[in-house]
Amino acid sequence: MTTRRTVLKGMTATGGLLAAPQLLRAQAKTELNVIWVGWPEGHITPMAEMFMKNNPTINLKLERIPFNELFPALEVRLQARTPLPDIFFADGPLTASYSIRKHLAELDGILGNDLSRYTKAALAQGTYKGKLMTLPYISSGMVLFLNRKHFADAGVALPEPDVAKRWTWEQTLEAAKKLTDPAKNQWGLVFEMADRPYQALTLPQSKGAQVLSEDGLTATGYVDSKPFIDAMQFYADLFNKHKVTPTGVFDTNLALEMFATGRAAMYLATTPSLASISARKDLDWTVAPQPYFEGGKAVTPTGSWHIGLNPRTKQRAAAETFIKAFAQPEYVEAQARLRPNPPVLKSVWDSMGAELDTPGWRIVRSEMENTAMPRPATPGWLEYEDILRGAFREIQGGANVEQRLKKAARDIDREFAKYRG
Amino acid sequence: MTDRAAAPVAASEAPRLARRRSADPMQPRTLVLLAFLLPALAFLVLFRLTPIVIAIGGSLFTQNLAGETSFGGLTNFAQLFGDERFWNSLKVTLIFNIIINPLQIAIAFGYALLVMVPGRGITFFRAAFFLPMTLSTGLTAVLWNIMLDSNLGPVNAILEGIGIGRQPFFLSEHQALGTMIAIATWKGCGYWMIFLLAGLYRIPGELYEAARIDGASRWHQLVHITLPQMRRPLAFVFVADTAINFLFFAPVYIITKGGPNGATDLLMFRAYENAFTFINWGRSLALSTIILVIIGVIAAIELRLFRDKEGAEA
Repeated sequence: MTTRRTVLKGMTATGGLLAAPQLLRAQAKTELNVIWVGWPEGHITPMAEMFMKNNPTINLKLERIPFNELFPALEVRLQARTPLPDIFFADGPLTASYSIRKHLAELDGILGNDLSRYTKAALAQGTYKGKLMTLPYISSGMVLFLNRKHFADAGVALPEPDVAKRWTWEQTLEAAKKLTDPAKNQWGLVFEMADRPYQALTLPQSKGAQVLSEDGLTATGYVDSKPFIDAMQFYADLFNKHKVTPTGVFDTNLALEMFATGRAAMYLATTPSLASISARKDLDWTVAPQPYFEGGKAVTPTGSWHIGLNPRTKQRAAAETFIKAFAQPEYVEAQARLRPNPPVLKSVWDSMGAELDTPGWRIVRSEMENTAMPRPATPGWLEYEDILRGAFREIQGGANVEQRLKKAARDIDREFAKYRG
Repeated sequence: MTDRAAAPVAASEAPRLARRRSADPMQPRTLVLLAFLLPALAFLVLFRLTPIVIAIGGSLFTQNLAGETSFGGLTNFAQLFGDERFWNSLKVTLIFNIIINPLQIAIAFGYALLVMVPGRGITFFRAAFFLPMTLSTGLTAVLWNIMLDSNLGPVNAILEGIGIGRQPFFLSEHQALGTMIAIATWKGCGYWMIFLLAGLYRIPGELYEAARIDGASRWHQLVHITLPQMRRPLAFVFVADTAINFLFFAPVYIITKGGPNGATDLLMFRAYENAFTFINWGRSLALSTIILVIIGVIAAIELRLFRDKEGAEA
């Protein structure tokens, strides 16, 4: 028998069922999709956990993409012009390219005007047309790692970990010749990023070459200039004429492994190698500053990872919270403790003073203040880097340096045409 | 008279009989046929024809940096035809296919003949030939890149050990394409072997028995029985293999990036590079359209060649 009470009970239950999804939605966390460069999980997860602990209403959905795959993957995602990813990691020199193509939201309004706390080079790479487009997150620097035992066995005196007593490339070559031992399959020198302009461009820059026009839109006359060709000829000779450097080592992990297993006596690499090599307890090693050309100037690479905000995001408020958080010194410091990259905030250099007071870090800090040169500012960095990588690979393989660089310059200029129009 | 009267009656009966046949419960109705075909047709249109139409249509448009498109006619094609690198890519792609397709199919056919006859341990050989196919293309590329590495690769250590000396493989302009063909053949042959093996099993045993009674040698049996009987499977394998090899991409992307000096610069890699590195979707789609046309023309020629021979035989 249907009573009034039964009807009321039924109505209450129905109302509850109808309202439940709304209530659940109200309690659900905002989800932010973040594309992060594929560092080891231990370098990323604690940072994400720190953010989610401080911002309990936001859940981070992380996607780690390996370094070599990150740029093509980002192209696919960003060209689709969808709201996802909300946040993505961007290589510093790509800031202009992403800005021109409207893949980045301006960050000035989010962070305010207090940008003087950033190092100059990091801020420059995140800025396009006077506006901060990507948040500087970590930077990079390079040191020369040395295997003490190989130096002792070859009777070569170690260079000092002092930027004032920096070796020239000519000295480095002479040492590399003595340290190379084909019978032991031991090489004199390996490069961490043997085909990447990030590392290789510092050679022509050390010879005084300007690697791109001032407006960043012309390569001919720069990439094929005499100092550029001379420097790359020296580079090519390391592989082909003197045979002190192995060809085809384009994988950064392979290069590290060659040094860590004693297959290379010298290894020019970025600071994350400080942690990797420190972990090899059986390796007796030390560091020295990156060499320069005799008669030239000391130039070292810098610039690294920035954070971009997708202007099409549907989670704008949460994305802004993310940007604000990762601009805080405690986040930058926490990241620097997890991953040994130079911090982008001046204050963190001071707060981590004791930890960064090692020969390697002292060199890096000095380089960042005096010799670090960011990669050229151009909207066509993606094309510039790809074409030069091909040229550097082939130069290592024995291609005629001048002809190959002239071809690279032509190829770059053809692809740059779209930015000139 | 009777005959003349019967004829119109028979003619008028015909539609009725046809209607009866269609009413036969064993004969499926048009709607039922459509219902079964529709999902497959829908997927065919969605996943095959639509991308082709988009690619062809997109090749006629240009896109600015902000992602806005405008009709450009044949601009993308004109740019490509005026680019020396396109002609190099076309040449490399054609050389690659002219070598790899017959090579893969000849080896696959050889494999199929070898593992066709039942015998002790034959399953092991069948599995061994097929095994490379089970590896992903990316993994195969990484594996062979390490194996053939000029410094750390075991292949070069062996070559040095036996006195041949270290080879540059992917680092040499003269060896890179050949090495790429070798690893693609290593991976692909087992796959095509399966199709050809199925074809071999369909050849009636009586044909070989009759040939043996007539005193035909193994070679004559192969030339006069096996090969003519294998035209259909071979036609399929040739067309499918051609299509797959024209789209060959991953090892080039992973190992050589089109180098050294354009030696492995296949059209598919160029299409990828234009889309994702040079940010030129129109040019990339124009390249895809060109690849599509080339595959279509070559597949038509291959089918025609096999069909003509079959017709002549019939």
